[in-house]
Amino acid sequence: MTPTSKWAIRGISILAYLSLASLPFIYALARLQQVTGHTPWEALWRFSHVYGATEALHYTLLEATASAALTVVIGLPIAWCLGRYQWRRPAFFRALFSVPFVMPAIVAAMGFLLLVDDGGLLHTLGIDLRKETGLIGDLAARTGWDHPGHFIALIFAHAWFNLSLMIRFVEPTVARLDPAWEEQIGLLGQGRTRLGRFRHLWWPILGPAVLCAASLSFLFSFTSFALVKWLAPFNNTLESLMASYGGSAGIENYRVDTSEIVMSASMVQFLILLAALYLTSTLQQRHSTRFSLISEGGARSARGPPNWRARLIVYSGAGFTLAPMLAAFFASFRVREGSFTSGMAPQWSVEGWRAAWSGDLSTMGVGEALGNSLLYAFCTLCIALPTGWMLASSIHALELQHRPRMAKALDVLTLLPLAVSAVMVGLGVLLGVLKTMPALFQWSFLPVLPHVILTVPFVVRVMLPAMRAVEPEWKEQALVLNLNPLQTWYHGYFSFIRGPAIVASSLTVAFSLGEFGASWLIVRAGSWDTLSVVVDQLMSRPKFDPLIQPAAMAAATVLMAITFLLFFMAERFRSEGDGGGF
Amino acid sequence: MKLNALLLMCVLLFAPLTGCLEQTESNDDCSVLPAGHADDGVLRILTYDITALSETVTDEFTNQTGIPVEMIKVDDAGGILDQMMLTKSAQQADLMIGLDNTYLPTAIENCLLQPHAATPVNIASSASAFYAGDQAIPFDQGDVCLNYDEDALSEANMTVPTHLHNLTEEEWKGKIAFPSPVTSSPGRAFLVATMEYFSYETEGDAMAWWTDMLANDAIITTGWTEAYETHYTGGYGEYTEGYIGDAWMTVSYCHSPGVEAFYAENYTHSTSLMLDHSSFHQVEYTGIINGAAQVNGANLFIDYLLSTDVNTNMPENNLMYSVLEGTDLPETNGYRHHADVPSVVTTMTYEEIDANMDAWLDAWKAATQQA
Amino acid sequence: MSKKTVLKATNLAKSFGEIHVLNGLNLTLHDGEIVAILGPSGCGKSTLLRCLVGLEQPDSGELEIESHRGSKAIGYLFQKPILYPHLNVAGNIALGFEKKIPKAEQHTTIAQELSFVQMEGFEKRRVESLSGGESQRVALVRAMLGKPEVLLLDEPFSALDLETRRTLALQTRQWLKQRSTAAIHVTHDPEEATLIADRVLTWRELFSSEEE
Repeated sequence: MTPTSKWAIRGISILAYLSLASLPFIYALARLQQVTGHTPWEALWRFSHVYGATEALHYTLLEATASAALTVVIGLPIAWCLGRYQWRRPAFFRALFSVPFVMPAIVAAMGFLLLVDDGGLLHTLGIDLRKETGLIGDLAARTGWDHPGHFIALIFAHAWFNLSLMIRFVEPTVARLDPAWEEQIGLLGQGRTRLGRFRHLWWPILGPAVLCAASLSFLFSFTSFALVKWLAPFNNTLESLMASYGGSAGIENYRVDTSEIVMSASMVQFLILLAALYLTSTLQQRHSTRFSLISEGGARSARGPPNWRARLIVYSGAGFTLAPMLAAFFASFRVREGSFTSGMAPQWSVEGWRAAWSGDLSTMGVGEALGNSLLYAFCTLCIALPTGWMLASSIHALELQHRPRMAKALDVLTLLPLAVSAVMVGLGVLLGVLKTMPALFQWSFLPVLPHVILTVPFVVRVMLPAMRAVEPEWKEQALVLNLNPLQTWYHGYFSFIRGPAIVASSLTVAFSLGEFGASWLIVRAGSWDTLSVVVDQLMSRPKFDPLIQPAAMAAATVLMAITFLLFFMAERFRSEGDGGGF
Repeated sequence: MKLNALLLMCVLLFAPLTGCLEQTESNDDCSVLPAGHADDGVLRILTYDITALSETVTDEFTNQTGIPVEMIKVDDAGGILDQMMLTKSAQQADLMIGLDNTYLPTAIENCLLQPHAATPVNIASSASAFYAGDQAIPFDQGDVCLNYDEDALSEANMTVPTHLHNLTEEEWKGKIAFPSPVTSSPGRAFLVATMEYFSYETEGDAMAWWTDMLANDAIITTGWTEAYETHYTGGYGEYTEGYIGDAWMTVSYCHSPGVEAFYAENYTHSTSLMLDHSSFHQVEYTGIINGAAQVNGANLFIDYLLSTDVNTNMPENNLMYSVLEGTDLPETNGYRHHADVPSVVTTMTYEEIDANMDAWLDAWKAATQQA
Repeated sequence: MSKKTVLKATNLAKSFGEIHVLNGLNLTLHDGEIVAILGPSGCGKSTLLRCLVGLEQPDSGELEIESHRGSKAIGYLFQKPILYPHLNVAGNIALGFEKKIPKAEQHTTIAQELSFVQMEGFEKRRVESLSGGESQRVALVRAMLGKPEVLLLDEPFSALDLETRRTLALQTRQWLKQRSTAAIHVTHDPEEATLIADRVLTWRELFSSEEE
């Protein structure tokens, strides 16, 4: 393929993706400008006058920062211990720690609520984060802090979600570092103390990875909505504020106030997140070019099996990860039963599972919904993987051609969908489709569109570092062996990014299953319902019928199990030296 | 060089598209609009998650008429109106099901509905009193009122309030949860009820009462679910995740205690606060969307929805009263026994709601922000 | 007796920015001859070899390869053995076959070649488990499998211990002579140069008059 035709293909993918990723936001912004009479910059200045916006911003910044910090505190020791020692089944742990990231937030919320509720694990330990009695109540009274229990539950839930970021970024780095580096620093004057080793070895090597994971944690916590709604019901973040009012935004001469709220909040959110994305991109670049790696097997075997401290840390982390999921699993078997004489009490029952499979309480049964989910996930994969690959390869090609600014711009642009409010994109997609191709609404594969937009950034984040890490000698060796172009590509390039490609694929499928972009589509037809939609549907209904909640938990359990299986299989296909990537 | 060309293409692509958005959609008269989408024989229903419209119900309709049904679901009744407003130029659905009488005037004013051809014969006057025109027809009804936890009041030795002003007193501080009228349909209905309630007082000021309620730490939630499940102690919320249980009173339906008993073998400790004019008679409507393609199917579905077979099941399938004359809640498990029926219903008319709803919402926001 | 010239570089020049790495380099290699080029680290020895094999393009000068196979007649051994981690030893060696041959024949040939470098039974070993010397032997076997007429060796033994360097240098010379393969071996070690080569040139000599 000639360079020109390569760039032509790259150009088309870049253009197509950037249009998909940015047009909805542009459409929505243009419409809101029309409805409110304010430009985006005016909306920015008017932010403090918008109902509830300032409080929401304060809360969002506070919880996002605290969540990111907590993610580091919890995740870093786990990543360190997992990467440093020779575990028998590192693939199992990696898969386990990856599952929370793609769980639908509502499932995570339910799981955490089960832990913090009356009779939940924390409550039995005397910590009441929900009703805020006892220790937490004292804390609230002494400090004047409103609802500290809800805040603590929320940041722990965010840390749970984002744990996998820390593991994925840091663990491979620790696992593959040449032990000679550590030995060397220990023999040098500056490295004789722990602090010295931290300053001169560990921080330079791990710092970018940790900060990268932390900035992504900040970003995801910032845009969190469902967890805030359920775990901190007395507070709003910018996203939950917009979600509350978003349905009536963008309509001429109707509820102009909601349009103002959405416009101002989304502009502030966009700017803050753009800054966070720029930082993420910069840190990841530094992280991926920082040092030379040796194979993972070599590094781990040098340190041997884990000691008791490492085991304690990793198993505790596994417990932390499993706890909400197990809570949801057990809740699927708890059905409350009423009695005129003795009131109500929960009983063990499989009726919830039966109702979930039969679809009596939802638009369809779990089996059919799962089939839809898998179909959409497959379609998403077929589009998102090549698109993300092409984008990553374009960024890398620009870097190799010494065009860092353009590479950086494209890098940040691919992350753009993560900076944009779901409400805005939903509105923009609706408006855009209405204007251009209204018939598209009837197209049953329309939900694939938001899935693709949201999964491509992750494909890029996984593939790009892997591409950067491929040394040119691999290709050069193939050339001097006179291998044909396909063989040269395979041995000199693809074999090194096959592992990350598998990771990217499993992430894409898992995100699609978890319906990450579901909220983007305001309009959803019943026949398209996926597993995640069924869970959401059941959880949103009035639960007078005692079977609704266990049925929702049953559907959520199926979703969790499929996701774990997916990641576990992906880990098995990755060879030991492939590293984690994202 | 190559990427500069790419960027230029992006600009050229975006520019004409943003120009498109400057066209204003307007339809000055309420004439019937042409179909917003192609008629492929499928009836598309725009609704929120109405449990009465299960797959069984829609499949039966298809069996009877040969017309397949697709549901387009939004979050709540307000979402139905929002969706119709947003897609005015190219409506994607044919039939709407779920707008209530606080939203209907806005929908009609904005020409979002068109006359239907259904002629049901036995609609109860309680359902048809509010609106008897041909652009919408009621399919279920219920009274929105305050519910309270009998056991909680009894344990605290508190008397049942005899006036809404009682709720601004110290003993009720932080113990009432209201779904916001801005974002919740029952919340909106209750706001209208308070407007009516205080209009019967000399110098009655509903907004002052709301300000006082917020000053008394009333809990405002986004939707009914949060208020009823998370905060209210009188209902099933105790057995759901995330229960806080800090409110002994909330807004729901006067027959909600009956629903509780229906599912709990005739057990409930929730009951309704029966103060004259403090409840709002909510009626939910169905109507053909202006710009529908499958008008015939829509008319047939309206008839089907109002048929005895389907509509008499509203209490069990949709937890609301049927609109058919001579029907009532079932007696099973104390459903009817525990359902409260207000003796004095709202007198708020279509014209009053049409003229004032937006102003009431703005006033509420201002009043509650003051607190 | 006039020897057939197999490779000739005349006035080769190569710069990287302001740095002139090669500036009027001349080198002639005869059929079956092993030439060692001695020079300090960083003088441009690797750059010369990369230009000869085509991994870099010289800025000016002429390069003639007297073979009908053109540049395919040249083999190359990197300083660090580049063995693909996703293939085992046999898989890496098999990459060196010029044409597709039946599996059984591949297997036999690889076994023979491995025994030549005293690595019998290493076919299924993972490349990460090999020592430095073993890795370089595998790389050498692979490079020779393509039957190059000229083999370029870019300080392949520099990371190894003295004993292994000597052994490998002698083995490599033996093997090259057996197959009448010409070679250019760059190194900074005079003893290694003497062991392996027929002719030792210093780096400076390459830039004097036309080399013979």
